Formats: sequence, structure tokens, C-alpha cells
Amino acid sequence: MEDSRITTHPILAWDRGNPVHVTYDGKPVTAYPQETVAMALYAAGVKQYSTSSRFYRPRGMFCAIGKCSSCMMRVDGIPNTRTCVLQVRDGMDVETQHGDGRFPDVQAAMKRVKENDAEILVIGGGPAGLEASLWAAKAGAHVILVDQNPQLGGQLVKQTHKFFGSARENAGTRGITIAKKLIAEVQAEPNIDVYSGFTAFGWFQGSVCAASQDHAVLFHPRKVIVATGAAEKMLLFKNNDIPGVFGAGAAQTLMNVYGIKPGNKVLMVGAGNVGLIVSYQLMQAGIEVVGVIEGAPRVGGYLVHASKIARNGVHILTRHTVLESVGTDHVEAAIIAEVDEQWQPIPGTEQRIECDTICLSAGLKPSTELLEQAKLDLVFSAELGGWVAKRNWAMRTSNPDIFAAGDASGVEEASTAMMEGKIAGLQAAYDLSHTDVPMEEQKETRRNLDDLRAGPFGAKICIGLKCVEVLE
Amino acid sequence: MRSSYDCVIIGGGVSGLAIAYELAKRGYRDVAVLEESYLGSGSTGRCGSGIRAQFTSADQIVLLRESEAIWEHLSEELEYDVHFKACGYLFLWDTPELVDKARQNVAFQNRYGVMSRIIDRQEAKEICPSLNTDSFLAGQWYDKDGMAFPFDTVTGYARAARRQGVDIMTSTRVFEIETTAAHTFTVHTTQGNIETKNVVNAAGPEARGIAAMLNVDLPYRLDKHQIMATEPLEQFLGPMLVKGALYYLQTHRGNVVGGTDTGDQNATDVDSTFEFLTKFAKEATEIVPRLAGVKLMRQWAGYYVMSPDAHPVLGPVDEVPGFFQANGYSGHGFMMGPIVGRLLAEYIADGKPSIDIDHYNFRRFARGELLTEKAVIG
Repeated sequence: MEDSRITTHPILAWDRGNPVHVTYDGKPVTAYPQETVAMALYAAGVKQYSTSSRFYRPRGMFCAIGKCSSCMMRVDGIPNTRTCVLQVRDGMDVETQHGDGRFPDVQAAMKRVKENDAEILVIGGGPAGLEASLWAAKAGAHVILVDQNPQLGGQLVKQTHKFFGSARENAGTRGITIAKKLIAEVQAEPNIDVYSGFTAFGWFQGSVCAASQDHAVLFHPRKVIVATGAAEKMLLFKNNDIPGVFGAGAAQTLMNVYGIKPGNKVLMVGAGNVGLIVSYQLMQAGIEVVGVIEGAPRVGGYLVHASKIARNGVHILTRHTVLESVGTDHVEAAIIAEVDEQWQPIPGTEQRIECDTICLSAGLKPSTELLEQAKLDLVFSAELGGWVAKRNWAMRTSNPDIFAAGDASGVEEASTAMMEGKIAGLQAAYDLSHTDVPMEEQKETRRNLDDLRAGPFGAKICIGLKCVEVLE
Repeated sequence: MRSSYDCVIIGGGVSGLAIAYELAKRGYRDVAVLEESYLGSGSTGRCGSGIRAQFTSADQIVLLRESEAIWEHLSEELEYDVHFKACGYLFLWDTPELVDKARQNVAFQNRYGVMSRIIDRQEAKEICPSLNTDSFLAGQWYDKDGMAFPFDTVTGYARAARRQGVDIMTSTRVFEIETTAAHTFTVHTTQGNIETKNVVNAAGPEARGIAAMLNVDLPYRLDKHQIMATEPLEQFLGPMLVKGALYYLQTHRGNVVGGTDTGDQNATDVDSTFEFLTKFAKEATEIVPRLAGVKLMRQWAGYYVMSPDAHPVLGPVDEVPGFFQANGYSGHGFMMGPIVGRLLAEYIADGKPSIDIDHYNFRRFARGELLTEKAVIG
């Protein structure tokens, strides 16, 4: 059987433990306990999980972090199971889903429902949510942290690069190291209860319901901090839905979290920081990057990242876009072309690039489902990635009991997400008269956040914030 | 929008649009429909989308029988697929008393040409293979009952009406209606004033407020009813299932959509509650246990505009000539839409509807001539 697991890596190592076995369309597949179903299948060469509901088009991995519906399969007789966030279990029966899911042929157990009061409910255990939980707890509040993934850390767990910024804000430290540190602190904090594997899916008159495979909990929180992150954007081009086209972040999740090669020849679309960093990390994992293309006339990300990959012989083609992915069941090549000033493809400049994977690094969109359900005032900000909640300097939204932080409040980066989380967490605690952390700490963090954004790369964010931040 | 029309219809749901279409079809084209939000944004877009003739009052049985006859060919008539499907309604009865009552209902319905019948558990299982036959004693079945897709229905009527010259205005709220000395009306809207001879009140939950502008007091109560929709699945369910207050069906798109009663009478909000979700899940899985593995996708709520006798108010108001009612559906407005559209249009255009609707008139409340209907579901 094919096995695209990475065994040697300059930075990472994976302790996979003893293999377990799952059945995929009647065939045995080897998996490892920390893997999710979609990852284990991917490592075994399964690139198609389902067919689309209307035109039966092949569907493979896209986001890899539980944000889209591309990996829905039938697991143990239950249709529409999101396999990228479902951990494998020995003996699991996994089937390709063709079209709409077939009605379950087993009787699932009803979820056990309980109700829980919560002083502060933090939704999302990425950089913003972890910091919000930690600082609210340090201030003396009791925190419940809900996260839909099998493990905490959000997207920090795949960021092997070293952070920029000042030493105070983890500069020079790899994201994965920060994640380990924060997760350990959260787990050691007696004032934080963690609900991993629980998806917060709905507001019910001020209460929030979160559910796992077996349980549902209705939380009655006094304060809520929404730190649900962001989802990768799709790009419009012909045949863009076939397996082999996925988010750059998904590629990063595959190789850095699970140690699985996303492909062998990758075309990266987008030369922002994510596109550049992921390209470099692909090379670190021994994968060929056949090129990086960028629609803008200039590289969008930090030059230090761009020169790193250029030094390794990868061309960055600016003013280029992808027109088509070639292939029926899987990407076999990409057709790219030069674009003019209006971003329109110039006829005659088309070229075919042989590749088996097209990674899209076209930006992120804040995951605002819960903020919308809570009927908050939202505004559209292209600079911040889409619709975002209006809020004050302390991340308080138009509902005084609801805060938003991190990418969910506007797409930026992990360092700023952590600061926003800290500010929101402390504010929620102060609201409830927990003042074990002096207010000066919060004010100082806000000043640092403003300083960090004062640089050239913060300019765009600051433009966005002008329409989003409510002055008091 | 012009400054005068022969007829102004307030409400861009199935009622208002069906009336507009049927008027235009009769050559009465000087019509405007005013909708304060988007088409179908009120009760139509929130409804459970079921269509049935299995009622307990002769009036409603006849009305819905005729409505079903229109529904059956509505897609061809409107040249737009409203996704009507005669999936049938299967009522499940779980006590001998209820089965006896159902036998009487069936005999009564049969008298009016609605050929429902009592079926045993075996036959019910053949119609709906996923049923738990231990959860009921007998079924009541009528295969001409069905469902349609509310937004497509609204779109179909709106397009057909527009093709015939009807003006349909969305985001246009009516905030005042004045009567003039010449027995006409001035309708004040957020987009300007309109002079008209006839006003049709098809404003759903807002109907009471619209009538109050002309000092007509519609005696309605708003009850909140919640609905949920699951993720889409391959077609598996078959009929609309009803047991007590519980009902659900599978839409053409594959979602299981349904609701149950949570006793929210005199409601002032349409917020979703968790109590509804747990109650629905418990009741729904009692009759189809394998629904337990199907995920919730959406939940919402709307109002049943309850009239004192659970029958709609249709036709003119004696005190205000030219002011017509098409409201108070008590949870049945969507299924009645096509027939109400036809009858009101016949009344307004010719003064003579093909089915007598006199007993649905508003004046019945003042005279104490209430109708009776027991079969209100959800």
C-alpha cells in the first residue's frame, strides 16, 4: 500500500505509536491513533472522499481543519461525517459518500444532554482562545474552553516558522513551540475546563450549545469570547473543485501536524506570507514546489520568506493567475497565464505546469457563524477578510457580553490574535469583578498591539479597523 | 412604482403573490404588491411546506381539496418548478380512541372527495420503510397530500405576475392607510404614497397591524412555532409524517424539515430555543429511530396567526368597502395559497368567487358564527 507519511524532517518528528486498522470501502487501511480519518486515508493514497451532491463531481481534501464539507464520508453507517477532524478508532468502517448521504443504516445513540453554567465561555482553542482563557483565569475567573478539534492549539500547531516582532511577543519562537507552551499552561490551570472535540453550533437565547459525537452541552455563560478563527478562501477557475486543489493551510496541516506529504509536485497560488511560508515548508518536507504564482505585480509577503524559497531555485511569477486545473479525478497539471493591470488574463500567455497539487493561498475569511447567529452588528471589511463584528478597543462587540478575538474578528496573524485574546479575556474577567491581573497589564498589551500594527504590514489592518473599531 | 393602482396588495408571501397573479391572469393588471422585506420573508418562507386536505371541517376540506388540484399543476401553470410532490400525509395514531376518531374523520373527508383511509402498521411501513411500527397502532393516509418548496413557489408566482404586468415592490413598508371621501385609499409607504380603489391585506403576522390602520380589529393571536432542518440526505422518508403535534417531511433537496409544538402562545419573538430541539429530537426519533444519526443544519421560527376558530379570514370587510382580507391562516397559509389567490381574485375582479367564501368573512366573529377545526398541527 502507498504510504506518504514523512519519516525524516529537519524540524519535526512524529511519534506515531502502534498502528490501528480501519476499513475503507471494504479494504483494510493502516492508520495511527493520533490521525484523523481523512489524514490516514490520505497517507494511504486515498485522495477522493466523496462525490458532490448534484453533479457527482469528485471531492477531496480542501480545508483539513473542519471548516468545509469536502471530506464528508460515511463512518460506521452514519453519513456526512467530517473526517478531517474525526480521530481514527481501530475497526472503524469508512465509506466513500456518493452524492447526498444515505440515511443511516444503524441507530446512533442519542446524544446525552447536560446543562452547564459558565462564567466565561471561550469558543475556539487557537492562539486567541488559549490566551483569552489563560488571562481570564489568571484574573480569577472560571473559564470553559470549547474547541472542535481533537487537540488544542488551532493553527499554531502547524506553524513551524519562527515568529517576527518583539521578544516580548514570542519573536524568534516557532509557532509549534508557542502552541505547546500555551496548551500546557491551559491544561495546568485549575480555573479552565477544556471541552475538546465539541463544536459550538448555536445560540439559544443567550445560551450556547456545543456537541461532540456523543454529548451535547448547553452552556449558560455570563460572558462569551468567540475565537473561532478563519477559513481559507477558494479561487475561481475552471475545474477548481477536483481533488488535488486545496488550501495552503490544509497542505500545512497535512505535513506539519500529521507528517503526511500533500503531494509530490506542488504549484502554489498566492505569494502572501502563507503562500511563501508553506512553499518553504513543503521543500523542507522534501516536496517539489514547481512554482509560486501571484496575481499582484509584487510579492505580498515578507521578503525574507520570498528570498528563502528563491534561493532554493523556486520561481515566483508575479502578475500570473491560474486558469484551470487539468485532470478528471485528480490534478494532473495547471494552466496559468499572465494578467494585465485589471487582473485579466492576457491571451496567448497561457502555459501548462505539470503538477499534482495546486495550493491556494488566496487569503482567509473570518469564521463568523456564531457572531452572526448572535445578531451582532457586523460590517464588511475587505482589509480584514470579510464580515467582522464591530467592537471597541477591548474586543467587546455590540452585545456587551460577547467578545470576538483572533482571526474570527478580522484576519491578521497569530501574534496579534494572541494579544486580542488576552485583551478580551481580561476584559471579560474584569466585567465579572475578577481583578487579580492589574488593568495596566491589559492597557500595556493594547499598546503593544498598536505598536505591532504600526509597521508597514499593519497598514492594511489599520485601514480595516477604522470602520470596525468603535471609539468610546 | 406608480402613484396609483386599481389594487394594492400588502404582503409578498404566497397569498399576496397568488392573488396578484390570479388577478393579472383575469386581465386585472393594474396591481401592485408591497412587501416590507424580501419575497417570502414572513410566514411563507418559514413554513413547514406541507400541503394537505385531511382536515376536520367541511369548509377547509373543500378549500384544500381545490387547492391541491391547483398545486398538482402549478409548476406548469407558472412555468417555474415549485417542487410540488404528492408525497402523501401519514398521520400516526397510537391509542384506540384516536384510531376511532380517525375512522370518523376519514368517513367525513371521503364525503367531500378527499379519499383518505385508515391503514394498518404493515401498510404504513411499506409507505415509509424507516418507521418504527411499535410507535403507533394505525395510520391515516391520503396520497394526494404533499409538499412544495416555499421560496420557489413565491418566485414562480412573482415571475408569472410580473410577466403579466404586476408591479412587485420589496423593501417597501406600509405605515399608514387613509380612506378618502371618494371611497378610495391613500397607502403611505416608505417609497412614497399610492392611491388605490382596493387594498388587500395579505400581510401574514402583520395583518392585524395593517387592519388597525383602517380601524378594523382582527382578533388574532400570534403563536411561535419552531422548525428545524437536517443536513440533506438521499430520498428515504417518503410521506409527511404527523403524530400529535409532531410533523416532518423530506424536501426535494433531501433535508428533513419539521417541527413540534412548544406551547408558545402570544409570542413576541421568533428566537430558536433549545427546548424545541430536544423535544423534536425525542419525538422524531420515536417514530423513525435512525434519525438519531442525522445532523441538524438549521433551526428557525415563525408565527401561526391564530384566528379564534382556526379558519382564515377571507373577503371584504363590511365597514370598509374595498378593503379585502386574506389572513389569519392559523398555520395553513402556504397550502391554501393557490386557492385563496384564485378565490380572492375572482371576488375582486368579478365579485363572484367559484367557491362561496362568505362564511370566511370577518363579520362571523361579531355574529358569533365561528367555524370549527381541530386538526392544527405543529
